[in-house]
Amino acid sequence: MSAGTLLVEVLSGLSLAAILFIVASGMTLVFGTMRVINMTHGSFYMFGAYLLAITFHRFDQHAFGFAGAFVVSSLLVAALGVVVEFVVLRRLYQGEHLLQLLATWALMLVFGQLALDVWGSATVTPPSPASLSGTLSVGAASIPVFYVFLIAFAAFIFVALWFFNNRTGVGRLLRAAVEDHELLTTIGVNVRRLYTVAFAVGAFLAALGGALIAPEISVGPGIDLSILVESFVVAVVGGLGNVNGAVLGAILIGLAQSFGATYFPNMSEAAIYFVMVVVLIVRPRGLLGKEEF
Amino acid sequence: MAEPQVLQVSDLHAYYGQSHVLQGISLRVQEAECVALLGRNGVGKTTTFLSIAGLMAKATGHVTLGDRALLGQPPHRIARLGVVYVPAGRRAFARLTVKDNLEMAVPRSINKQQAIEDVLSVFPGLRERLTVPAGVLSGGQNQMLKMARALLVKPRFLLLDEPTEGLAPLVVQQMGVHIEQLLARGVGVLIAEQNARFTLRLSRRVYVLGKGVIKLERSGDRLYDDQEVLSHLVV
Repeated sequence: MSAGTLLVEVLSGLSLAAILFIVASGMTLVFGTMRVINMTHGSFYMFGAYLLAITFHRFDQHAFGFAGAFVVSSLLVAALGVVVEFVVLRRLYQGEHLLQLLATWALMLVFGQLALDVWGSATVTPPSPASLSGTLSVGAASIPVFYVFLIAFAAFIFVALWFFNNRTGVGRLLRAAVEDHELLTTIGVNVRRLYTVAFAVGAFLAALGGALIAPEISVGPGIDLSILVESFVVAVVGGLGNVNGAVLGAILIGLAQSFGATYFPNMSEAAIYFVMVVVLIVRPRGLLGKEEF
Repeated sequence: MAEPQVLQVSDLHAYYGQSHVLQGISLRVQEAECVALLGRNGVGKTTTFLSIAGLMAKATGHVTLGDRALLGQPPHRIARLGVVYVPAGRRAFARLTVKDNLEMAVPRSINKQQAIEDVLSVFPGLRERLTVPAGVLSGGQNQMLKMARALLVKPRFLLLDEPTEGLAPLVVQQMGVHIEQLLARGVGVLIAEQNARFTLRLSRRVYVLGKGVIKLERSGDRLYDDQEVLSHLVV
């Protein structure tokens, strides 16, 4: 195999990893703060993708139009996240984890049906923004510009999340809530509102992932479940609750998907589970997970 | 403070699932008053505090601050109203710095820098530890951090759960001085302890708790000599 094809293979894997990281970081953030495994996370991704497909036509098809469309889509989904947290999850923090799992799973089914009723069973693919299509030539290899964009954007999200976590007041409260949410209430912090914020940020990240990848995939029924499973695998491999772990998990899983599809096309679906099994045998809490649950 | 404040608890019941752990507790604390809540391990002292602070899922009865009902309010609002619970043991945001631990307790309307400067003058031992993670503090420093953090919330009433647990005698004395300063500033203090001597010296009223009910209530200047109080506490 030439260095050129290897480079393309790796970049294709990393571009998958970029989306996986953005989505999984939202899931892992919500779990880390609230100890909730959010099964509607895939639905937020799906809505992000559909909304991008809709709003993109309203904006001009240049780079800023794309930017506008995905910011609008993601913010709308973040607002939906606020509603879900407020109406459903908020009632379940006291109960068992199973209840939260069931409730968010049920919501996923409801949202899936809703999408089917509204948008039908046909798939749509929003056009790629003109400025991000095309390829770059590196030696003999030609690399899609969109791959490079996705990877750069994921890196930007990683830095932004780090900044949010470590350099803002809300981020500090979130880190404190991970350690002891009861203690936080005794110093007068409204932890419920903090959870709403965390959940909205999680939904925002899921939708951002969906909106970013929409031009590259067929947006249709079922994408909610597949991304839910994949981002869950990424979060678990990295260590649930750990954003840095999500980076490692995403890179591993993204590369496994990309190389699996090329070299083991018959078993490509199994590649990510194979990686997960191996990682969990070696490190049962995931790569950067902590011994706490 | 315009009018004298009273923290009043009446007929407080609390449950963990089916188990009825508080069975009609009544007590009150006035401003600038220290009240002791004594009793053995597991009789409901901490549950009483959790109920007052709004942290028990199932609690009934009445808890009032002046004419304002506290029971049923969310815990952060109870803290903001000035009833601040200081839990027992090593409770801190261990991975955050001491400074972060303190800053988070300052209400948004108040100047953080000034407020923290104020508590550091009360607890100077924390000043040189500001940048270390709270998890590495010694037991005594951790108690001071807990007190400092509670002071930043602007308490009118403090609920201190085992404030001298695991402290060296000298530090216990310091803690006593701090509590007396608070009383002088008009803060009402309710202390739950197993080790009665420290608390009784500070208090002018004591409630002895046993199995979820108040077994004895006494007021006076020399509670630490009161044979009836002490007879309840023999372990």
